[in-house]
Amino acid sequence: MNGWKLARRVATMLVVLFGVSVLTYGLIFVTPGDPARTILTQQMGGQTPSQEAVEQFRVAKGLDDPFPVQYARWVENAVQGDLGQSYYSDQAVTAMIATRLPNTIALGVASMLVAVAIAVPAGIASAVEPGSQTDYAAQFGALVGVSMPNFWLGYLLIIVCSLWLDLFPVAGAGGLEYLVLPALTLGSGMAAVIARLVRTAMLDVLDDAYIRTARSKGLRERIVVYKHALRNALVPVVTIIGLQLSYVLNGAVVVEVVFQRPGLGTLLVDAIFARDYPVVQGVTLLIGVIFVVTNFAVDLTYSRLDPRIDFGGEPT
Amino acid sequence: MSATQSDPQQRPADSRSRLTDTIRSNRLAQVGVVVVLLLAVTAVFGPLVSPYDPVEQNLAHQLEPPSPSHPLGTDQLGRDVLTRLLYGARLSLGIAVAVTGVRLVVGTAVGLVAGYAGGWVDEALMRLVDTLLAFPGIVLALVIAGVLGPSLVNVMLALAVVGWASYARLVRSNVLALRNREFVTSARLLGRSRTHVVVRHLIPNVVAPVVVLATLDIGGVILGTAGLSFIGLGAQPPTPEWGTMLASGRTYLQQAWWLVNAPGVCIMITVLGFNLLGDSLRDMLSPTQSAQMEQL
Repeated sequence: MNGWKLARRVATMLVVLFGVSVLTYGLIFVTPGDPARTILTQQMGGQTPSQEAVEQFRVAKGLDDPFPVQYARWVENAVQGDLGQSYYSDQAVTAMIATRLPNTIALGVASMLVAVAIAVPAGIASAVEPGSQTDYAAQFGALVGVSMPNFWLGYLLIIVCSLWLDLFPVAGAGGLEYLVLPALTLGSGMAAVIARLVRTAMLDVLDDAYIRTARSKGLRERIVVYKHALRNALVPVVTIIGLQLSYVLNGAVVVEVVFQRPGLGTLLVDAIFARDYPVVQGVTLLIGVIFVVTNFAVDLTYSRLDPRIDFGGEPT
Repeated sequence: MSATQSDPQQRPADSRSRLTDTIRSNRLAQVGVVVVLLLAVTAVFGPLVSPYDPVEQNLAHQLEPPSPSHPLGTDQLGRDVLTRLLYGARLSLGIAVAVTGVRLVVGTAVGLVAGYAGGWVDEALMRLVDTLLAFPGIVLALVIAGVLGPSLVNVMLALAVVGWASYARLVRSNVLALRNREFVTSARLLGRSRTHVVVRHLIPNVVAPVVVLATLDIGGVILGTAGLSFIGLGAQPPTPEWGTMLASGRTYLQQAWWLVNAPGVCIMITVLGFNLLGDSLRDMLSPTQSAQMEQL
């Protein structure tokens, strides 16, 4: 990737980040009716707020300014790390995010470990003997994995491991014992996706000339597979694992609800139901930005590791 | 049309025979077809066969375990779980087809316009696509549905808005590849109108990849609808929607394990059926087309 292409890629990313922020801030204006009135009605448990209260709320929260002014103010503050205050507790949104974020990161990392621990061996076993019983079993397992709703898997694990076997706590957050079931739930779906990637990558590599050479030298099959093939197959896999972030973030929302874990997902869901818009916007923006920046980083690493890959921006 | 005939992939008749070939030769594809057909039959006729009402409460029979008269037990309000699942199948399949249909039509239209028009139109549309794809799908759908307010229609709307972008990207890249092919240039040189070129030459050639994407997408839409309903944004009780049923069963994990597991199994089998079908359909695409699919 030369300098010009890199510049173009950065420019595209900035445009997308702008789009992400407009979309995030603009969302509250999709609220049916007048946002200020809807929020106050919600806060007052369904009672109709007085016209005066609505006006007051609008002025206090800066909702009386035209959209571009509100948006500009929000972005300006957001860039400086200020995402506003919750409508309910007057707590800073960034502080609320900061207390919840570690739990979500822990869940993401743990489930990634689970996923890799299942997926890499399964993918290798599959690719070493394509078309075998093992291969079919692994591929079918992967299909089941991607088809399984993770909220159901979560309850299945709770019923078996917590209620029947009494091995782990049902819900909450805390020590490692609270992390096991949520990580298994989230990790197994991801394992399915990664196992397929490992299989494809290994099949590709095992077909290469240097593997034939290694084999014809009379090297043992184990050494060929693990030392020669796996190492090269892992290059694309490692970077593509980065792209699983989308899966982690999508899944974390549901899994945190199932296990009642205080994290970014439950923060977002609670804020949505309470129409606590500053929190909704803050969390959405954070997720969007993390996602865009990670994808960008993955693209860069990928094209650096394998210069044949070109993300120059022209038709993919 | 002579240029078209020289390339076997470009002929709809051939891709149709390839479709039947793929399904005939691939056992997983057969399983997928059978599962999907069974589901469709169940969704249409199941509710007609069941002797119970899906929403009427029968408090004398609360939380009964599976038995001959209630094969999957009853729920906390004494309703027959199997009956509710049958009605739920109608709802899930109907929603999935509707949402996927909207995604497909909107995405294809945008992709055709962007790819064929090029220039700033293309640039603007593609940045919109990038922005939508810049969010994890369920998170964005969750926020849109939440702001609109909890209801099944809003969830459908949110899922449709979030999901058309990958169709647009796929169609655009296909159109870009087709635009300079001989049969398209010759049609243009013959003075055919834009509409003619798009309708007769471009659309027939993007149908196959778009249909494959839609088949792969349906499973995701079913999971999304059930997931958002599970969170509480979609169907509201007493609607017999699978995700909603699962959510109301979680209070009774200890006393009535069947309440969460029955809808869970239904969702999984449905999604699995569509994924099996979509996966094997993908194999019938040309290598370039499946490579484009991988990049979505």
